[in-house]
Amino acid sequence: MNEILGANNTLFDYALVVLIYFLLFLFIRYPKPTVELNYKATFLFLSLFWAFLMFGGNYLGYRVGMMAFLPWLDNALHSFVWVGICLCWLYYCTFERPVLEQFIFFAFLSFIVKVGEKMILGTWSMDSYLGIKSPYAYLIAMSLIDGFYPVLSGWIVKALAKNSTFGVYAVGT
Amino acid sequence: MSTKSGAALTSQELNLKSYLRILFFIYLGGVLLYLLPPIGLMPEFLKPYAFINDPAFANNSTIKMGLFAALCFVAAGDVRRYLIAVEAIMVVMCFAVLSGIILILFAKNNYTIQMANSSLKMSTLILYSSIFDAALNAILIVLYNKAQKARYNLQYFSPMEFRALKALAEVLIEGDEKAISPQETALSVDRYMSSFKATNKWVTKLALTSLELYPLVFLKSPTSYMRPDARKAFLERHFYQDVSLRFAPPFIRMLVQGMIRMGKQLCFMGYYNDPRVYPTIGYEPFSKRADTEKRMKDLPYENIRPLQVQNEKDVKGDVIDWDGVVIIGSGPGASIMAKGLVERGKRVLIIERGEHTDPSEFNEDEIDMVSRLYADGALQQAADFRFQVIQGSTVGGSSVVNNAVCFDTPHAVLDRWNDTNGIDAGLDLARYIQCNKNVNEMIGVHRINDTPSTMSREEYLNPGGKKFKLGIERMGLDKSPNVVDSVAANIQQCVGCGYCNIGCKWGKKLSMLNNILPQAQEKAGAENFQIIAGCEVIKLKSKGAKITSLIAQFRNGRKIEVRGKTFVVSAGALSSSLLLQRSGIATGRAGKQLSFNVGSPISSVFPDVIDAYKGLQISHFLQISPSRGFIFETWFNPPMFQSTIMPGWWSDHWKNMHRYNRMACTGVLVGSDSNAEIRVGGLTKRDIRYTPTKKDFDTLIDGIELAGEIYLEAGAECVMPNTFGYYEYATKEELKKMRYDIKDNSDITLGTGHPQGGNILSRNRKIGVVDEQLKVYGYDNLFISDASVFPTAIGVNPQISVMTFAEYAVPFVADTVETGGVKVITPDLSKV
Repeated sequence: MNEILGANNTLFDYALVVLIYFLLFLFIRYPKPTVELNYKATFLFLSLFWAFLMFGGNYLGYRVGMMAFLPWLDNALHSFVWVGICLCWLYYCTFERPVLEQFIFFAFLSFIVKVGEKMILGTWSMDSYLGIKSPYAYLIAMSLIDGFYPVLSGWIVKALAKNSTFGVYAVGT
Repeated sequence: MSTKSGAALTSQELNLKSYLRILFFIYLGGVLLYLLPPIGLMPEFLKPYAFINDPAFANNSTIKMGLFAALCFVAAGDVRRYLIAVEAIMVVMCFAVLSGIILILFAKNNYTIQMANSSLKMSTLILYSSIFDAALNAILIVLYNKAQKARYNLQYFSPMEFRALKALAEVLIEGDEKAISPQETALSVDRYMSSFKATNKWVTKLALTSLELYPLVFLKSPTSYMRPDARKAFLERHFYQDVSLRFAPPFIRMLVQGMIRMGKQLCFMGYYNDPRVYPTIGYEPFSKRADTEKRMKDLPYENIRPLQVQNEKDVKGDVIDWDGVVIIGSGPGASIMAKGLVERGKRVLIIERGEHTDPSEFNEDEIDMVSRLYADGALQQAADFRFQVIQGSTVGGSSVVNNAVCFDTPHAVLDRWNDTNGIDAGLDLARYIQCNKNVNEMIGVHRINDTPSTMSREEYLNPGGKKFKLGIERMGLDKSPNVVDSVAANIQQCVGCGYCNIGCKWGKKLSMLNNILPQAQEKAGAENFQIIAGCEVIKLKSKGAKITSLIAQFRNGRKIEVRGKTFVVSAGALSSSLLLQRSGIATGRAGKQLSFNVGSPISSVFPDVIDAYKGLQISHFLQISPSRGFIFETWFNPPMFQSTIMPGWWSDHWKNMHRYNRMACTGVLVGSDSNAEIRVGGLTKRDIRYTPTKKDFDTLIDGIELAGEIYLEAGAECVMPNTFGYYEYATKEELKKMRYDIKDNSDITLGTGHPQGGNILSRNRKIGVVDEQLKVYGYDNLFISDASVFPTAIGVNPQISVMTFAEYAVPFVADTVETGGVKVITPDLSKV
């Protein structure tokens, strides 16, 4: 059970985490409450792509010693709900903004979510990271990695849109 | 294009060369890393990693690294000549990564290695090693592919696929003094494949990759690595014999046959489309013929009218609100419907999947025109790869690429459709026949009689047709009630270029593109009659019983939503059915009861030069009465098309193509039973399921045999059906053996340009998709107007029938726009 929920965690704790996701989602969604016709396929692709990649990547990162263990339910919710839906929608709302702005949006909101999960579930915890002895070093490093989401997504969309692979279309081109 | 040997390396090849040199040093370093410690020369920094002292471990690793280093060294010396060394490295590295994954997942002995102050599990070490190998190999694969593509200027195929195609061309086109090399043949195909977009193009890649790797199953090297004689022997044994003699199990046989058919077709297309080949087979393109200028002068009629068509760049915004009728497709059914509606003051918007090609852009390059004018580049096949379905996909639809042959709907067919104990179509026959007459007048249908003074009628029509007619007369088949004549067609003053199937440049063929559509636009004005091309409708959206809008997608992936008052689907028998299925309309009925005019040609060789490629492609027909279930139409094609239906393998095919100007050909058409089906699915999302019934198959063989007899009677040296195995029949007695040589549809090449049914018309809601007014059951504002409504195959060229249905349905559609409902017209069901 510890591997699924994490030590001393309950379903109520997870409900609080989902509430954080939801509240942030409301802000993220504010400028564009619906996905336009030509972005739907791209949205679906990016959502699933990043969700599965994060889910697998979080576990692989733990196995190679680069990340702390995420309980399975946390990993699933973080990957499929936060990354798959919320960050994907954030990208939809910001992809036309300057890259640096997008980077800051993604890194900052990811940081908030990770701090919330750390406080509620005790996850995203390492005493030191990359030689820096601070409990926040790991959190900041992981958040900065999330900051690259928009740049990588942009490259992927551009590559796939050339031949409309998976129906992906580069809106605005 | 291709570089000669000794020509400078491309920048991509130089990059590959540099990377190989880097790899050489990496692997050389690896050799030293593994070799030195066990012999007591352990560097200081490696002392914490005691495990590498193990001689057994070091031996294997040194061999591996040494081999890689040697291969890289050799390949870097000449990346063109020793490319096989690079390929060997890539394959072995893939195995190394695969073996690493297998060991990580399944190795039982996952011991821990002590390293300095820490320890490492063996599985983790293997993981790091596999990641390293994978990264090096990924870079090598990318650079190799880029180098190969740059060397040959490949646009579509991967290097392996290209090699396979080149290797196939080397043996399949078997003759002395080839006009172009196998490499040029393969490059021609690459150019063709890159010139159009289609959902099923990737099947060619799969076929070529499979052809390349299939020999591995028999522990032989890939096809392109074999010597040509060994390659031919392999193809002969495992493709030709396994299929024609049924040595292989049925499923394998089907796959193998599909692969080699595709391979053959591509090779022949690439070779026989090249103008340098033409003189070798006795073909003259129209522009080079001696009498061309005279023909153009004697037959001056031209009908080229301007047509305004929008493409993706012209369409602003993602939503179009259209206050009128939206028609999907622009072929015969759509065009007649559009014309009828604008004459009633309705606004019409046409959404067409194909691109708009102005007739002034039509040219003699068959590959170029096929890629522009046909659906999926004419590569559409049934699920078992044994049946080819050819359809036009361009503004004007199949009328741009058909042979303009016009037949009225046979009365026997109409009676069958209206049988209240059977299909119960509920057609008002008097009105239908009047619509039939209207359509014939509208598009100028007549028997081809306007012969120029410079040649005889038979020469003008088609020299090959003359031979067929001679045989018919000698056999007494020209007597009533049989009908033998030149075809009726919507053609004026044809110059006999023979390019009907790749578009008429001069507007002699009064297709929808240069006749009906421009007329309609002229009448309504460009504002009220608009055409958007290059846009495929992917779904219809509905609310209750009303279609509210459609979603369409351009080639670049951009989608638009079009809202309208009434919608008419005229996308052709296959696409209309698929659209309804994708939209969840007529579930369980749409796509069923599909039928075809199934065709197969028979070729004949004469002692004298005929030049059957000159003149109308389809010039004569013979209808036997009482009907034996088939109709004959003489038919001949420019070299590329003809080569794809030419019987024979290896030197036989070469021999036949070099008898091209002494050949004549007739197509046998059989209106099939409605036992076919199309659904969304399969490899290409267009899953056509069809096997001819025994009755249809026997009828077809009957017809082919009779056609063969006619040609032999006319003096042919031999006749050849279009079979998988090669058979030549020089006498009528030999021809009787054909029934034993052709056992089922796997032994003969079948195809159609006339798919019908799928959304059939019937007053019985259990089987019909549309009612007697062509309105889709369950919807107030959705109609279908194309060959998909035919309850059965009509057995003759269908374009007139398609247009008749459209003309018939115009008032129903027009009324819906105003009232939101349909005026009921009591039909006259009396037999014709």
